[in-house]
Amino acid sequence: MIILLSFETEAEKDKFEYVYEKYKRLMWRKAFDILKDYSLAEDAVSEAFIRVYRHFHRINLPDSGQTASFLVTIVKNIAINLYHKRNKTLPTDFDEFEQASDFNLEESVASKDETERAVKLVDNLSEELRAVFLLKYAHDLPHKEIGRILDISENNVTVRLHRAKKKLADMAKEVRQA
Amino acid sequence: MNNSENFYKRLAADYVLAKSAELSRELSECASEPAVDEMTTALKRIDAKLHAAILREKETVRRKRFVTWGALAASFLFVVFAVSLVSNLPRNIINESAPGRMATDTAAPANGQNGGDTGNEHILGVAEAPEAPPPSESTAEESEADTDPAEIPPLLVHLSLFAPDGWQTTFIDYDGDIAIYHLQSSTGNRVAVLAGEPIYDPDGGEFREIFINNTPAYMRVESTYSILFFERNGLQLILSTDYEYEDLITLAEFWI
Repeated sequence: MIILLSFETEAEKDKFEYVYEKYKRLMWRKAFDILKDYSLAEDAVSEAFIRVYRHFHRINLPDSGQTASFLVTIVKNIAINLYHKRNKTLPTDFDEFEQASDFNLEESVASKDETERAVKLVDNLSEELRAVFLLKYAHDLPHKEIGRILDISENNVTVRLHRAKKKLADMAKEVRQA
Repeated sequence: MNNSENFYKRLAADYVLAKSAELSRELSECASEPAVDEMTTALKRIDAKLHAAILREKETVRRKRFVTWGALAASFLFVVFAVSLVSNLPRNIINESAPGRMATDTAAPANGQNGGDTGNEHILGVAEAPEAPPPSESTAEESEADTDPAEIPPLLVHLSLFAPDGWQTTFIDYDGDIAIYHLQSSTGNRVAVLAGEPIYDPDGGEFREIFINNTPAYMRVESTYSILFFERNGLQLILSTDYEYEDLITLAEFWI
């Protein structure tokens, strides 16, 4: 692996190299699933690692699910942005990019498993909203840092977070009422 | 923290926990599946892109640090100057307006010296010259690399000696796999040059073929960067910039 000169300590450098080697294929696959283009998927992965590099202090345990989720959240978000750029579909409203909903209310109600229910609820958010929501609540990042990672303004982070929470709250309410 | 914040936190934690197992399974699949050629090449290109981008990032950080320290040093000097000016002012006024006082000062020179000139130094507390700052260790440390110049592909070393008028070499780095050479154009834009085994496929369709001095070169212009590559002596030379692609053409014309 060809990286790096830029870390303060050898340990940091080794950690980055380890994370890079471990996750680059998975991230490439995630990006490729969205973009269906080798070259753009490469761009997404390299851009994702640049952002990871800038916020590397956030990665404490390279093997943890938390880290995998963090990296995948970032690369998917970048891939979606690249997809929009390539297809010249400029976002006018976040709802426009909601995923085709496969949310099944009955299934959610039937599920007694909290974790399974959480997956169903959060999976029903669009990628843009989910990324902000997870970076905020699963990774405990401040709005400013989320903005930097996702390359959006702090204000936009607040708006997306508000929409994500509202949508989750509405869905949770529906589930309870059902 | 209120209840709803707790709810979202728990929801996110449950989600990450559930997805961890899924991602872990996908990771094992990725690790075990044989890499197809396209993927191997794609991963190599990610290595190269990331390497170039991180070096650019590092250079930017160093520039920012330099500017910050420069600004701090300038502020410090300004403050010292302002303090010395302000402290001198009343003393001079007193000296001029109260000759008796001056007479007292000069009449009792310290250590047998004439106290007239040294008086201000004691008042200002600057009699002891400030120690020179220690030589910066980071400069040497950061000056790119433990690269052994003998290891850098000769072609790159050769090219680094020739740049268009007004261009500057900023640094060369070689990690045993890919060599990278950074230049600054006459307009201040940065260009990275990578040399190594071919990693881009001229027939891959991602690049537009152009001819520079009758030699085929391949160009890709994106909104945030441009790449141009061509082959020399079996090495692929990849020129990339975050700025306008014209710099790449200028450089390629000079080298081809």
